[in-house]
Amino acid sequence: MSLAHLQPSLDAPRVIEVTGLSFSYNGETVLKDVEFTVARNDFVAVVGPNGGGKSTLIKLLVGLLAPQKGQVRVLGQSPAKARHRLGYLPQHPSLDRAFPITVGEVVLMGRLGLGGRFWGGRWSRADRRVAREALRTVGLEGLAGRSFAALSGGQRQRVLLARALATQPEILLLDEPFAGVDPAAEEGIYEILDRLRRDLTVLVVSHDLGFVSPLVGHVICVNRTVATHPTAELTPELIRQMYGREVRLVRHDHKGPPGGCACE
Amino acid sequence: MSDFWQALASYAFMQNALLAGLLASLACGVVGTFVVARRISYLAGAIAHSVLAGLGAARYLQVVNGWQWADPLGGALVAGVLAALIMGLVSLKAREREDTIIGAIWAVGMALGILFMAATPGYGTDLMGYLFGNILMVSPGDLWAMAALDLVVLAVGLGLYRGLGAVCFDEEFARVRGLNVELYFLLLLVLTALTVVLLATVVGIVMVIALLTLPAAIAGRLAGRLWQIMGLAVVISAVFTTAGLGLSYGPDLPAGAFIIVLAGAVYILASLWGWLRGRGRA
Repeated sequence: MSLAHLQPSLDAPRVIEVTGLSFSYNGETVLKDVEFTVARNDFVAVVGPNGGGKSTLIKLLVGLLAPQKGQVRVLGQSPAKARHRLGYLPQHPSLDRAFPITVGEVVLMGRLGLGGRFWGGRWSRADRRVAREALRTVGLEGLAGRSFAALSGGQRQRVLLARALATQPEILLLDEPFAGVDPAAEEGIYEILDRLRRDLTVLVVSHDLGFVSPLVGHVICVNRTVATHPTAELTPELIRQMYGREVRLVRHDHKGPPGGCACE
Repeated sequence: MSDFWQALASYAFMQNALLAGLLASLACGVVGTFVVARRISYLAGAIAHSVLAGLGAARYLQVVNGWQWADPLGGALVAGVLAALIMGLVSLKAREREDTIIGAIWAVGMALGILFMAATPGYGTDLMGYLFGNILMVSPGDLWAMAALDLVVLAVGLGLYRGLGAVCFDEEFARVRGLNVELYFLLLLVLTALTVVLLATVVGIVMVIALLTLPAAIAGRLAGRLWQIMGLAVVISAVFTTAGLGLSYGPDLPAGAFIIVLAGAVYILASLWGWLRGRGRA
């Protein structure tokens, strides 16, 4: 079985370009001299040990954090300028679960900031159509009127994915989209991502790579530094081996060698 | 109650009081809903208490310096907005020390107000009115000022409903969508300050926080969307102020305190009912 069809061509435009990026929290280096690029329509898995800097990297890509050294270019712009073209699903959403809001309204939040529409109460028909489609994509079209607080963890995660999709992004960045999600719902989310990857560039931060492997074009290992592995250059046996080790590594919560990559 | 209807028909001050309650309810429902949803009641409480500094300073300037333009309501507005901005910036910049600083502004604002009033001849009655409300003393001029405040609060609160709601629900996502989260947060606090000043006329600054949050909290048990809660909270608040005014008139009790006790009692009953219903389902 060849995986070459998953590999974007070498001259595909780079939608993410990171050069010489370093970032530290309170003097502790989280990311050091990070360099990588992501091609349009690639499907990238971001892996690495806990505390290795995966979430920090994603936050830098969406412009929630600013690089202390180096440069991040997203869609040829600074993240702050490009962020209305990004769909972001945070690992620990800062949202208030008990907030009085319906599922449909949560998804509509994804339409914020498009064309500068922050004012007014009623959403346009076009916005509502996009939100409805996003909800259908994640298989929850029947729940639009339901209270967000009443959902299960898996449903909530899918609603937040729909919110990210409603932004009609060019790049989808999902930080641990399977946290607190039961296996059936996780499979559902993967099926959704499989359908989306034709039109989008997708970055998924995930621990469990056993299932994601057939979709992935590249694996980015983050552990203070970053190494990119093109999966197409590897045989299926090697991929299995690599993922197998990665899954084991994560389950036992091993720390990779300092500055090294957990899945090398 | 029949005394109340008679008084309402024959006395202008009763009509003014009723109107003041209804005007306050409009802003209360809208801003109270944001305050409860964003969980910043404590910030609102500090804003309310620091308003006393402005009231006291304006009264002092009026009486001692003879500056007639130093209207207590204007002083309250200046102090409230100032406190809102200071606390908003503190909350945004120094989260870990937020509660200490809120507590400090809460008490210092009040202390300043009391000092100003002590230095003002004949402060006693004023102080009681500011602290616990003097809805029966509302003048037509006050009503106009309240209506103007209402207009500002409703126009901004409803006009920016979407952005304010987004910032209250999920700050980080709103930021990624390009919203100026800090600006919206400060705006919400300024709206809270204006509403606090409005409500203080009715129930006084000590009890404002209950009237601001309880109608929205009760409405939150009945409705699932922000705008529905706002509408309901306006109605509930109007019922509380009107009923409190009516019920306190006969026995000659302070209306402000009566309104708060009424709101508190209904809130506790609603919570109890919700809890019992939850148990029945389980």
